[in-house]
Amino acid sequence: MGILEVKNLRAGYGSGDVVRDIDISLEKGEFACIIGPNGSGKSTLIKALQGLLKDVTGEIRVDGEDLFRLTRHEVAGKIAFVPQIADLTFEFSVLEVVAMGRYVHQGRLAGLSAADRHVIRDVLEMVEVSHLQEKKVAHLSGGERQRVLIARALAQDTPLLFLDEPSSHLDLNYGLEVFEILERLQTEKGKTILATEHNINLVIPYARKIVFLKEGRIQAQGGPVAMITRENIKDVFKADVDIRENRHSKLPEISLIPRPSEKRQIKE
Amino acid sequence: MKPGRKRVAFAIVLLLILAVSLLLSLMIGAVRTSPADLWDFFFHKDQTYRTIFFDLRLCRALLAFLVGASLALSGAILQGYFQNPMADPFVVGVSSGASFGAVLCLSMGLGAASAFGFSLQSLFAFGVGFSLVSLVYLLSQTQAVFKVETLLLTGIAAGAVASSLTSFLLFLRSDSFEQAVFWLLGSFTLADWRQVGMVAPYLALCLLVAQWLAKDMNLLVLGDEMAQSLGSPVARVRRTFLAVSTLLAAVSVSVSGIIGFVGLIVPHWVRIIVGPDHRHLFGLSALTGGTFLVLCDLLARTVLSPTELPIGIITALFGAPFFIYLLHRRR
Amino acid sequence: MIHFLFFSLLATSLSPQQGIVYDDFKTPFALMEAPQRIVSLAPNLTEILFALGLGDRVVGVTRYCDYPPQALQKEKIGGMVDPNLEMIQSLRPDLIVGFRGNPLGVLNKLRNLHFPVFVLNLGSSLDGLFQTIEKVGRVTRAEDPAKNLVAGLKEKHQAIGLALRDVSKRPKVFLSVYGQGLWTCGEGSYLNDLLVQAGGVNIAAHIPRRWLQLNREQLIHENPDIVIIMAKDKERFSQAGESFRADPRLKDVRAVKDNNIHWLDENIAGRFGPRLIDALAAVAQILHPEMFEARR
Repeated sequence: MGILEVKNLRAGYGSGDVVRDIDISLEKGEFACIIGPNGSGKSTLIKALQGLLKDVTGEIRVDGEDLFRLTRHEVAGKIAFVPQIADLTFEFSVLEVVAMGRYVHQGRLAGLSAADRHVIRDVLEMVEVSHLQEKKVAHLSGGERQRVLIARALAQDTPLLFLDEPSSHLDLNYGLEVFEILERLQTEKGKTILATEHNINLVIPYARKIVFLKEGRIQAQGGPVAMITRENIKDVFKADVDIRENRHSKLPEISLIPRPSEKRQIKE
Repeated sequence: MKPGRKRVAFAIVLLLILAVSLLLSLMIGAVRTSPADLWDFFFHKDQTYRTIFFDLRLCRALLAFLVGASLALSGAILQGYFQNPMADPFVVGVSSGASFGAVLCLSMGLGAASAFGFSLQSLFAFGVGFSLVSLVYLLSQTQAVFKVETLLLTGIAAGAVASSLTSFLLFLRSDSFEQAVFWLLGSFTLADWRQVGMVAPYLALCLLVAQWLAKDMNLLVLGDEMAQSLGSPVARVRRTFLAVSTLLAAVSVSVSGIIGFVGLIVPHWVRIIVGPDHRHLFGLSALTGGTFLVLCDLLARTVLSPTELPIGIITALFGAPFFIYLLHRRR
Repeated sequence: MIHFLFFSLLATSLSPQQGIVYDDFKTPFALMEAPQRIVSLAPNLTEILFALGLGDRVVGVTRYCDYPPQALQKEKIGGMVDPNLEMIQSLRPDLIVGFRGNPLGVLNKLRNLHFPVFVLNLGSSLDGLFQTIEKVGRVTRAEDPAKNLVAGLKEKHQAIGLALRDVSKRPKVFLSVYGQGLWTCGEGSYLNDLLVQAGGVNIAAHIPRRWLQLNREQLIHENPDIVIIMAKDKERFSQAGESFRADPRLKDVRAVKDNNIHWLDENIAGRFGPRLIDALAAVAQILHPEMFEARR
C-alpha cells in the first residue's frame, strides 16, 4: 500500500462540490504533480488532502492511518505544506519563520534545542537561504520568500511534502530552481512530494506522476511520457498544442499553436 | 545586541521605570506629603497618612498597573488574532457593550446597588460587554468558512448599535448623564482593594493562557490553514484567545471605565523593541502597559491638582499621534 | 447590600435616641453627636449649612461654593462631579453631605473609607426644600436652627402668596434655564413649582420631564407673555436675550414683541437652597409688578 491512499474523495466549501470522485495513490518517495487550468480545483484538492477543509467526504489514508481520525498535531508530523502565498503582517525574521516548522516537535513553552538548531541550519543551507536568516520575511523578494516557506516546511521534518503552485509569483528561473530543490529532496531525502502546478513544461522533467484535473475531477493520471499527449492537453486545457522533444532533456515539451488570424502581422 | 539580551535589558529598564513611577505615585498627590512622611509610614508604621498612602495612592497605582497590563495584553492578543496591528481591545465591541451595560444599570436606578461585594454597575458592564462579543462571535460563525473580517465587521456594527442604545438611554434619562459621563471617560478615582483583588487573578490567569498558546499565535501569522498544517488546533486557539482578550477588556472597563489607546499602542512599542514573537510580546506588553498607565494616572491627577483629568485624555494625548504615525508608516 | 448589613449591625449597637435615618437615596445613616468637621459636596448644601449657623464646622467645600462669601475661605475639595478623595480624606471629616449629581461611585468609595455620608436629592417643589433643610438639620444635630430657618422661609413664602392673592391673570412664562438652546423645566421640577407659586403658568408644565429642550415650534405655538432667562450675570443675560430678539422666527412671540424678557440670577434660582425664596420673590415681581407696587 502506498504512503498516501485517497479513495472517492469529494470536497467543497459548504455550497456544492469543488472536487469529486478523487482516487489517488502515492508510493513512498514519489514526486507527483496535479495539473489543471485555473479553477479546476487544484488548491481545494491539495488542501482537502491534508484535512484542512471541513466539508469533505471520502477516505484518506496516510501511512495506513485514517487522516480524519488524527489530531492536527499528528497530521503535522506527517505532512508539511507550502502555501501559494503568505503575506506576513508582523515582521518575523527568516530564522523565526523557519523555526516555526519545529514547533510540532517541541514542548509548548520550550525554546529551540540543539537538535532543532541543527535541523534549521541544514534546511537553510539546502534551500540556500542561510545568508538571509536575520532578514525580515516581509522584506524578501517572491523567490526568496518561497524558498523560506519551503525551508519552514522542511524543518517540520515530515515524510510527505505538499506544495500549492510553488512556481506561481516567481520569475522563470526561480520556478526551475524550486523544482530542482524539490527533486533533490525527493532523491536525497526520500520525501514523497505532491505539488499543484499550471506550467506543464516545468514539471515534465521532475514529476514521476502527473494527475490531470478538470472541473474538479481527475481526467487522467500516470507517468509524464504517457500523460503528455495532444489529446489530454486539448481535453484539459482546451488548447491546441504541439508536442516535441526537448533538445537538451530529450523529454516531451509542449508549445501552443496560435489560432490563425488575418489581422495579425509578424514583425521581425 | 542579541535578541535575548535585548529583551532582558528592556525588562530591567521597564521594572526600574515601574519602581520609580510607583514611588512617585505614593509621594505625589492633592495633599502635600513629604518623603519623610512616607518613610515614617513604611518603617515606623506611622498611621497619620495610612489611608492616603495605602488605601488611596498605592491601591490606585496598583489598579492602574493591573488595568494597563490587562488592556495591553488584550491588545497584543487581538492584534495577533486579527493579524491587524490596528486592532485593539475595543474593536469587537467590548467597550461599547460595557458602556451600554453601565448606563443601563444607571438608568434603571441601580447605580448605587451592589452584589457579591461588587457594584452592580461593574457587573452589568462586564456582563453586557462579554455577552455582546459572544453574540458577535456566534453571528460571525454562521457562514461555512469562518472569516476574521466577518468577525471584525460584525463587531464594529454591534458596537455601533450598543453605542446608539447608550446615547438613547442617556437621552431618555438625562439625570443619569452626569453619573455616566464620569464613568465613560475612565478614571481610577474610585480604586479600591476589592477591585485590585478582582483584576489580579484574571490577569494572571489570562497571561498564563496566552503564554501557553503563544506559539500558536505565532503560527497564525502564516494564515489559518498554515497554522493548522503546522499542528495548531486553530479553531480552538482562536476561541480561547478571543475569550481571554474579551475577558481582560471587560474586566478592565468594569473597574475603571473606558481607557483608550493603551491596548492599541503598547504592543507596538514592545514589537518595535523586541520583535513580533508572541512568546515575549505578551508578557512584556503587560509589563509595559501597566507601567505606562501608572505614569498616565500620575499625570492625570497631578497636572491640574486637585482637579483630576480623566485618564483617557492623557492616554489619547500620547496615543493618537502615535496612531497617526503608524498609519503613515504603513502607507 | 454590604452597607445595609453593616449599618444594620451598627444599628443594634446604638442607643435609641441616636438611631438610623435614611438619606434621599435610601442609604441608611447612623445619627451621631453633633458633627464638628463637615465637608459639603454641593453649593446649595454649603448655603444651607451656613444658614443653619454651622459655618464654623464646615471644613471643606467645592470650588463652586461661593455663597456666603465666608465659604470662599474654606478648603476646596474639588468640584461636584470630581471631588478629590485625598483632599477629603486629609480633612478628616466626621460628616460628608452629598447631593444628587455627585458621582454615586465616589459617594460609595467615601463610605468604604468609613466616612459617614448623607446624600440629598433635588426636591420637586418649595416644600421639598423645607424638607431638605430639615434633613440637613437632623444629621448635623441642628434641629432647632433648622426649624427656625424653615419657619422664617415659610413666613416669606406666605407673604409672597398673600401679595399675589388677588392676581386675576396668570401670564404664560418661558423659563430659559441655561440661557441657550431653549432648555427649560417641565413637570416635577422645583422651578416649575416656583413659577406656579409666583403666579405664572409654565408653558412647559405639561411635559413630564424635569429638564427638557423645547423646540421653536412649541415656543411659537405656546406664545409666552414673558421670557425669563436664568444667567450667572447681566452680560450673559443680555447675550441670551439678544438671541431671542435677533431670531426673526420669534418676532411674533408676545414676550419678544413686547420686549418682556427678564433676568433671573442663576446662582439664586439654580441652587436648591434657602435663597430660593428670594428667587421666588424676584419672579413674582417680574410676573406681577403691579401687586408689589400697590402694597408699597
